[in-house]
Amino acid sequence: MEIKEKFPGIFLIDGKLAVKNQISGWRPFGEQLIKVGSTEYRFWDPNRSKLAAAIMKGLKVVPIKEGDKILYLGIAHGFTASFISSIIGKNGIIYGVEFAPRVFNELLPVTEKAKNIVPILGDARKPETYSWVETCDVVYVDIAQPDLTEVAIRNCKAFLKRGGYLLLAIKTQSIDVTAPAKRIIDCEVEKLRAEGFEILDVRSLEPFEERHGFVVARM
Amino acid sequence: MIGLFAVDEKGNLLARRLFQKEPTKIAEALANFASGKRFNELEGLIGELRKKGYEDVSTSQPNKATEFVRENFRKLAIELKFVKNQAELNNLLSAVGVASSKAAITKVGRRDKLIIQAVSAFNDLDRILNLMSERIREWYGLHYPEFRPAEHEKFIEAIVKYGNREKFEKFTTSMGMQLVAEDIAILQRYAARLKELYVLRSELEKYLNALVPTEMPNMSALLGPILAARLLAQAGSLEKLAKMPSSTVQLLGAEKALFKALRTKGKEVKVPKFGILFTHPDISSAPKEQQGKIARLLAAKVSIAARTDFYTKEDRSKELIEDYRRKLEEARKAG
Repeated sequence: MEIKEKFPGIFLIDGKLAVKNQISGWRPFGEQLIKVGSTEYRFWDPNRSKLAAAIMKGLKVVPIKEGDKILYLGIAHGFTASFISSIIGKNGIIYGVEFAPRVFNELLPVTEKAKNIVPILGDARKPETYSWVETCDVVYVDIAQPDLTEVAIRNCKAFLKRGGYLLLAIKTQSIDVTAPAKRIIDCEVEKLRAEGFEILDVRSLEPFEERHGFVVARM
Repeated sequence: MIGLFAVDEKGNLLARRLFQKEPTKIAEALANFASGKRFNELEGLIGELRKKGYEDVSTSQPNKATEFVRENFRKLAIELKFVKNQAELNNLLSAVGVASSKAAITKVGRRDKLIIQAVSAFNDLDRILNLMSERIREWYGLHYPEFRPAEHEKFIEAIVKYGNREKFEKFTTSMGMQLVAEDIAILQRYAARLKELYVLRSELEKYLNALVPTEMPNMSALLGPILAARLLAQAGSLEKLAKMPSSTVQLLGAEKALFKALRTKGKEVKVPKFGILFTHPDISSAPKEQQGKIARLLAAKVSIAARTDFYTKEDRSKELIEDYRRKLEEARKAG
């Protein structure tokens, strides 16, 4: 078996993505676990996580490290967040904002185990409703909204530290169903540049997610 | 999260009030602060500022104080001895998050969600009843193919009551096959369950007929309780329905056809004219060339009804329906 640390805290085990499991035996979404020596790894399915998909598509930078403070907009059930939680460890923290009360049934049990995730029922369009959140190292945005880039920019201005990173998942179908995905992604990237973001990488998520893009930028 | 802080225009800290270190208390204070409500700690802080001679106190967001706390959050929490270390702060944050979201979820008024679940159950039941009724007709048809009442319910009741075709009062002969007692027994059990499901369906209908008019008086009067509930379910919530443009309301339930038409620029399929609204008799019974027009008209009125229901809940259905009827007549005359 070949284990490679692709990025800090993110491993490739025989070509499959995994993280070290923070709680032995923990598999909140029925993921596969594997024990190598005394270390347990939890597999990270790129079909269910846009960050994992972007990494499998060759993302050059993953600016998430041990101890990071992260604002996560659109945390949903907390699938991706549960892996970020493992990477940042107990000194880091994820402020997970979600608009739909419905998914808290699944999210809350995850946050009860992963104590570094703070669930917040709130609207990413109204940062003033969670104004108590501290300045963060990373803002991660995965909201399927037509104005997702504008929402991301507004939140970065309020919560992202200077030189901090934005990870942005773009669902092109939320923006326009008729235009080609590539053109929409280029257009959203341009909006970030105009606001002074430095674009570090852009990936298409095909075939894991149809018509999606993933952007890493620095403010 | 740790307390309230006041700063002057230059960003100098003037006064502070720390919260009690209790997750539910902190969650409550945060909710109060976000909604602009006055509460103890805030009153205290404003009082202290007034005494110090600061008259013009603003709590609107975003402001310098928020920025100040956000940048120095961890330093403040420890220097002010609110927590002993980072680990304790992280634990507290997590507990406050859980408490806040739980409180916020309970508070959301969700009578509309109740209607959505009930009408979805009603829709499911309709599909199931059709499926099961078709099955028993084919099954019992092996035995007595000449017995074909138009209504499923009559058919099922007869099987429950008589079982074997020879027990029917009007039975003379049949070209169907003979069945033994075991064959009849399982058919009758199936029919009995099915009959119960029909009773459940009418109970659900009665429940919706009572619930929908109290929650959405205008929508319900305009469309009838069941169709009003179905539109609500398709929209997701009364708030969403109220905030929708009426052109979207018109096409609720036809999303698949709409997006296909948009994607192919209308080449493969035409842009649909209506979704669930089609089941309204004014549309389904209209001549084909008028249906689109009437759907547009009805959708416009539905939008007004939904907004009245969401924002005031006042019953203004009388004028609404009068206005609708008048416009409908005009549309019909114009052809």
